[in-house]
Amino acid sequence: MPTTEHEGLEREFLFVTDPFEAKHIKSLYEGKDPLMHDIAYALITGNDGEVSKLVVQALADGWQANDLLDDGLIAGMAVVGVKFRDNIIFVPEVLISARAMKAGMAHIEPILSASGVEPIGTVIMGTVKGDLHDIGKNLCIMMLRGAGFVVHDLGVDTKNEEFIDAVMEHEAKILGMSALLTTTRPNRGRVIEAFEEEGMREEVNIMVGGAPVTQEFAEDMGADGYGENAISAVDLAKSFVASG
Amino acid sequence: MTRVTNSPEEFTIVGENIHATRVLFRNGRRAKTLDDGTEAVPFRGADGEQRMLTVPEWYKSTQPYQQNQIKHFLIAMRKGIEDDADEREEGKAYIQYEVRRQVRAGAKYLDINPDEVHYDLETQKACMRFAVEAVQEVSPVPPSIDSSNSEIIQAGLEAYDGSAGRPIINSVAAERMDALDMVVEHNARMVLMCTGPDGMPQDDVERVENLNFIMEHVQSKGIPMDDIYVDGIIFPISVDPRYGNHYFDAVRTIREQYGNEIHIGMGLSNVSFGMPERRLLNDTFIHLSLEAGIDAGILDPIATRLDRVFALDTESERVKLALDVLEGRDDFCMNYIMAYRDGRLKA
Repeated sequence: MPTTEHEGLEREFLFVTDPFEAKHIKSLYEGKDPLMHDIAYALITGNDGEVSKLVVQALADGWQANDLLDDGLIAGMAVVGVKFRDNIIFVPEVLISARAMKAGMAHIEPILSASGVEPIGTVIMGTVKGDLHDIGKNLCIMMLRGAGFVVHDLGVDTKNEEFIDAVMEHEAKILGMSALLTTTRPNRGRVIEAFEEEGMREEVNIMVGGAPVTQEFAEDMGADGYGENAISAVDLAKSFVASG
Repeated sequence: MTRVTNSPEEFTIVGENIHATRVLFRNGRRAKTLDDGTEAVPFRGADGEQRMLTVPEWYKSTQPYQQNQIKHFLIAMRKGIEDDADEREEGKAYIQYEVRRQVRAGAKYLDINPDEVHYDLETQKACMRFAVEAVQEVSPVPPSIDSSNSEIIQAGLEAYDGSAGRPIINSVAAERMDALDMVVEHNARMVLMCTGPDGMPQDDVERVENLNFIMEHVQSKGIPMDDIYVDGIIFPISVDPRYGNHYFDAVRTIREQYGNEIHIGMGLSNVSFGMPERRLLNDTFIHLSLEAGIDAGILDPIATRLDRVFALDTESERVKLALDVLEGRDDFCMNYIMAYRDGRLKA
C-alpha cells in the first residue's frame, strides 16, 4: 500500500531505509491532502518557484498557515535531512531545498506572526566566533520558527558579547550555538564561560550542534543539550520549554 | 604569472594524518573485525611484521563508534598515555607506522594535532607530548605542532628534542599572537593564518589585509620569509561558488606582494567538504592553487598524489566540471553533482 498517491514522493520514501525512520516519516504524510504532498515534493526537489506558487494558492483556498508548514514544508524537510545524512544528496542540494523552504516561509511567516498566537519560546541562534558556516544553523532556525519559536539569528562569526547582549535584550531562555570547523569548536565552551562570568548561566538553556560536536563534548563544555540535526534541535528546544 | 612550483619535488608537503579527528569506517577498507570479535586496524611494525591497533572497550560507548567511525589516531594517542606498558607500545608503534608511510610518500613535516582526543586540557597536552616523542624517535623530518590552544602547542614544543630540524608551529593568528613569542623562543617556523582579530575573512581583500596586519608584528621580530607558511584559508565550495576565487585571488596578491621566499598554501582539503568525488575536487583545487602561487600544503601524501595533480588532464570532461565548480561557474554545483550521478566523474 503506498502512503500517498504521489509517485515522486513514493520514490523519495525509498531513500529512507531504516524501518522506524520510514514509519515516522510516512506518518507525516499519511491521510494528508494531495496539495500538501505537492508542496513537500517541490521542497524536496528544490523547486522554490513551485513551493511559492503552491503556498500562495493554498492560502487563497483557505488552508491554515500552520498546516501548510507542518504537513508541507516540514514534512518535506524531514526527507531532505535523511537523504543528506545518508550521502544521497550533498550540501548544495540541501541549500537549494533550504531556499525553497524560505520561499514558502515568506508567505506563511507574516500570517503566523499576525495571528497573535503566543510563541512557545524565544531562541537566540548563532555560529561561533571564527566560523563562517551557517547551513546547519539556518536549517535549525527554519525548523524552530516552523515549530512556533521566535528566533533571533546572530549570523556567523558571533562574538561572546553578542550572544550575551542578545539573550538579555530578547529575554531569551534558549541559546543555540553552531560550529563546523574543528578549530572553532572550543569557542562554544568560551561562550558558555562568558555566560558564567556574567552570572547569567542559570537563566538560559544552551544547546550546541555542528559536525565536530558529539554528545560527550557537549556535556563537557557545559551545554544543556546537543542536537545532532535540525529536527533534534527542535525537540531539544521544546524539552527546555516543557521543563520550564 | 605567479606560479612558483613546477614539479612535485618543489612542493612542501606537511603530512596531515596524525590528527585525533581522522576516521576509518568500521569494517571498511582498513578496519577489520577479527574472528574472535575484536575490532582492529592492521598495520606493519618496524620490521614489517603484521600488527593490530585494537579498538578499546571504552571507545565503543562513544558516539563516533556508534556512527561506525573509528578515530584511529585518537585511539593511538589515548593508548599512548595509558598505564599499561603494552598499550603504550601499541599506540606508539601505530603512530610510527604512519610516520614511515608519510615520509616515504614525500612528507617534509608531520602535522600533529591532538585537540579532539579528549576535552580535558591535561589529557590533550599529555597526548601531544606522547605523539611528538613517538614521532621523533623514528622520523627524519620535523613535526608541525598543531593546536587551537597555545598551551597544547607549548607542551609539544617542550617535548620535541630538535633532532630532525626546526619544527613548525601551527598556527599563529591574529587571535593567537602569543604563539609568535613561542616561534622566537623555540626557533621554529610557523603557519600564519589569514584570519583577522574579529574572525574569518569574507573575501580576498580581507585575507590580504589580515595578513598585512600580522606580518607587521612578524617582521618586527626579524623573522625571515622562508620561515613563514601562509594559510590562505579555503572554505567549502559547496556553500558558496565565490569561495574558490576568493582564495586564488588572495594567493596571487600575497605572492606578488611578498615575493617568492614566503611559503603559501597549507590547509587544502576543506574545499571539497559536502561534495561527492572529493579527490577530483581536491586535485583540481591544488592544480588551480599552484597556478595562483602556492608552494606548500597540509595534505595526506598517500591519498593526494602530487604527480597525479601535476599530470591532471585539464581537457577531460571530469576535470572541466571540477574547474567550473571551483572557479564559480556551476551554480549550486548542479552540473558536477549530476555528472557524479551519471558516473561521468570516474577517472
